[in-house]
Amino acid sequence: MAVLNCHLCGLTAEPPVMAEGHAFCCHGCRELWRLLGEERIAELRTGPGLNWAALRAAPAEPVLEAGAGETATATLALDGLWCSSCAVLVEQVLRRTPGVLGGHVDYTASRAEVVFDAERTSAPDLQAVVQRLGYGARPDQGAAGDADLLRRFSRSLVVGLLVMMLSVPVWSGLLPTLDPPLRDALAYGLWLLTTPVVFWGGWPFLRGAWVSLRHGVPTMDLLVAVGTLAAYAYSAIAVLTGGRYLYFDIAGMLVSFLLLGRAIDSAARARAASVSRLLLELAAKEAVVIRAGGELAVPADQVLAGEAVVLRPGQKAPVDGEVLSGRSAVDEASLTGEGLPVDKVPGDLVYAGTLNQNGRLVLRALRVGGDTVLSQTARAVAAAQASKGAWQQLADRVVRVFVPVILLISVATWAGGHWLFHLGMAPALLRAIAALVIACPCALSVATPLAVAAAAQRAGRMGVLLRRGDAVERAAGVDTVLLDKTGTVTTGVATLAEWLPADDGLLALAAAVELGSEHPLGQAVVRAAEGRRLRVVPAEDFMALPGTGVSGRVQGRAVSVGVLPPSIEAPAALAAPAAEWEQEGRTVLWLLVDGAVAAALAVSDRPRPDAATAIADLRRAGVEVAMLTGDAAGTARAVASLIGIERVLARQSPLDKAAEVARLQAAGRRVAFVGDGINDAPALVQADLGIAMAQGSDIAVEAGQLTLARPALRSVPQVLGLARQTVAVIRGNLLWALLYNVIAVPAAILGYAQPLFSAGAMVVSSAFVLGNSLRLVGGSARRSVAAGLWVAGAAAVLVALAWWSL
Amino acid sequence: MTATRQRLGLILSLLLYAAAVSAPLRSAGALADRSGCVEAHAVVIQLLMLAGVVGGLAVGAPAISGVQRALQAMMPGADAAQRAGYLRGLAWALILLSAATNALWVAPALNMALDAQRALLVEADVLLYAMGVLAGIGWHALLDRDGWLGLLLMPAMALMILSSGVIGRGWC
Repeated sequence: MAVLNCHLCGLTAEPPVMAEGHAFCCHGCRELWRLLGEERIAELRTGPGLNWAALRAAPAEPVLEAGAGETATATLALDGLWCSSCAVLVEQVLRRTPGVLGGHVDYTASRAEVVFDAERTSAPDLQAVVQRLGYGARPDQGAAGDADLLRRFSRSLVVGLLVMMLSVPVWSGLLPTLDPPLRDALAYGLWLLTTPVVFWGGWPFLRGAWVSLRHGVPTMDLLVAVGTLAAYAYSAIAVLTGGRYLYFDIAGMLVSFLLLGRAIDSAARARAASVSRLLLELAAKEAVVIRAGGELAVPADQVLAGEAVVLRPGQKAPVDGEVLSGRSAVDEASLTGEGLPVDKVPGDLVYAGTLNQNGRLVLRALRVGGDTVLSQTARAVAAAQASKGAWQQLADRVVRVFVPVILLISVATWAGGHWLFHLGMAPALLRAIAALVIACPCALSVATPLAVAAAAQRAGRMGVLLRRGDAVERAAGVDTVLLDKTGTVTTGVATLAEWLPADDGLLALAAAVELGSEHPLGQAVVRAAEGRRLRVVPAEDFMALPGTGVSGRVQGRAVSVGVLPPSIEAPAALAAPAAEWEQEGRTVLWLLVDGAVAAALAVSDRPRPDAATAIADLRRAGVEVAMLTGDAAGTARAVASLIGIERVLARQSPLDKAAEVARLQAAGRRVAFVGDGINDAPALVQADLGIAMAQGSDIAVEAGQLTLARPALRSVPQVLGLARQTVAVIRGNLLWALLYNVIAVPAAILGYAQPLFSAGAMVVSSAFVLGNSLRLVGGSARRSVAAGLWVAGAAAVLVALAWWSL
Repeated sequence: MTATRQRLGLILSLLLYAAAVSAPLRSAGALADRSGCVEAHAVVIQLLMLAGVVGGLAVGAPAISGVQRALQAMMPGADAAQRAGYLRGLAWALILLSAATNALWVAPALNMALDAQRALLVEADVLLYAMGVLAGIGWHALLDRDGWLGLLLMPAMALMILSSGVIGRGWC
């Protein structure tokens, strides 16, 4: 059977939603295509795929003049968004709704934010507009969405457990032997308890099934709803007609398990969305621009490229710009992770989201609005979050084929049983329902999310945060790890290693001039002096010479610390050790007193204590390791040799690093890049797996799929090992789920799926997936088996005590 | 709760359970059921439930810690107070459910049917004990170190039901 691609978004259309000879992956794409028209869509095809950004920017027909009434904002939590088209469709329709002034739909977070004229429309009206499109919409209450699913799950589980426990007479076939009043009480009691589970707990599936039916797209919700309702309806009829078998317990547990899968999925999406929100909070909302000779405060997104922007102390930069005038220290921690502010002088670049500290700057806006590095990163993160792991995609595709197949099998079982094998209507129907119920893919639906959730928990204990759903799957295939040097392999904190002559007085002199410096090397000198409790007198006439060093007057003497001026030659007694220090990867500072070389100081950035072990672990796991750095070759090689890295690429620009990653990928390698600074962001994005140090720049953190919350490189080999284990567990889960169906469905068709068998099969199947996934958290299959045996043993003791009353 | 106290709690729970399902108490209950009396069997049921509550209190700390970890993973957008509120709601649901189950078994007809089918009787005993365990965990979630108060509150709740609803069919 040919696999069709969606005419609009290009995703695989399985099964296709057809319209006027075109195939679409979902009704969202179909409706959007109808809404915009072929011509407009063609315009937006500026490259492979569809330019979603341009599409979203496409102006909707104006329906109201802004400011006609009092404006209000509504935030709606959406359900049933299938792909990006669905989000665009909802957004376009909302924006065309009378009374709406503007709106945005976040596909990742499944949330719509709408600004509207409160006199013309209302939040419930907008909710209804979305619902008419076939999507769920309710007022968004932040975490309440997850809480709602969890509430449904936990209450359904509690009641479902009770129903299961009360169903023992049904399973054991003793129901018909009970006295009629007792039998009725039990049967009606089970009915009563199951009703809220199916209709209240299972409401998300019932609603999804209704949408699925309306748009002719069979989804998992449809199978769940049909299975659950069939079991419920059959059991209800059996109660009324005195039937032997009741499936109330199956219906209840089915809903509970599927709610668990959905709640886990929802939690993962909420986690990802919160990271994106955090990034956007960095952006300044307002800017002060110079227009017509005066300063004017405007919204940040209204600044034009080339305009002069005033940045006062304490303000965040609203744009990426070049300093035209003024000097100030700017806190770039959000971009670079560097805790110390950076001096900015005319000609320097200032990035949006960074914090101006003490001086007034005037910037020329270079990149504004959505073009700033900050916005680009936020977009990249949002796009990345919308992605699904390959295994989850596979599970989704299997389900999309599986659902109609099972529905067909069920109908065929009923028809074949009744007409071909001359079974009565009731037995044939029972078999058809049993096939539906038993095939409901509880295990299939939770196989991947449960394993990923368990892996996320285990990774959390290792100090690793999973930023994307597919991070685990990406990590599993990695065979090459590239590491940045400063701040990644090394601590990123400079320390004064030694100085010659080793005279405290000379160190105090150097510290006196470095007191005014904010450079990490200068800070290292000051810290060393403080550590030795030296009396440091602040220098007079302090001057910082960028790229050279600092100078000042200390007790009447001219003192400078920094690189050696070309006109001055180092004395032989100092030149030799200084050369050695450079070979060892240290940075050499020269102390000049009254114009003469007085001392040489070696500043080093030490490798992390666990770096060598981490590299050795990676090697043992068969992973190739290399270091990429912007530093000089000598320094880089020295650090690499200390920790056992043989391949080193020095003097690498950010783009060089990304190019090296791409080169390795082209050679068939699966590359992970570990970095911490904004200069690592391109490589982090290019790599198959980006691993960012949490104390590094926010941009780097955003660019990576994994974040090392603790500065411990040993987490890298650990998490790669965990990822391999997780993918093995996911494979095992999926294989089990498929195997279960291969055995259970024929059993149901042949009439062997009695309630006890169905309940047992479902419990065993789900317990297998649960236990297999929990191996990732617990670490050993033996422990899981031991726990299971312990519980089974305790239950056996209870049963034995009750059976043979002492 | 220390490991020793946990072990002691579980042993006590098992002893209470063994007493509740022992032959003398069971025959006394069955005899009362046949006479249409409620209270004798109700006391046995209460004992089973209390045995479970003791067991639930013993395993309460690790169970609650597991639930809290699961909630943290499942509710990433919620703060600690919201998660605690959710846990409290769940605990109340477990306690009320257990109390409801407790009340269910005081019907003489039901008990007589159970007396006649050993398999069902055993299942009912285990079920009652399990509901007690859940209630014990619920009390621990609500009252932490004072969870033992549940041991007093649950019989009090049951006695209220017995004394008001089924007073006509008491001890006979």
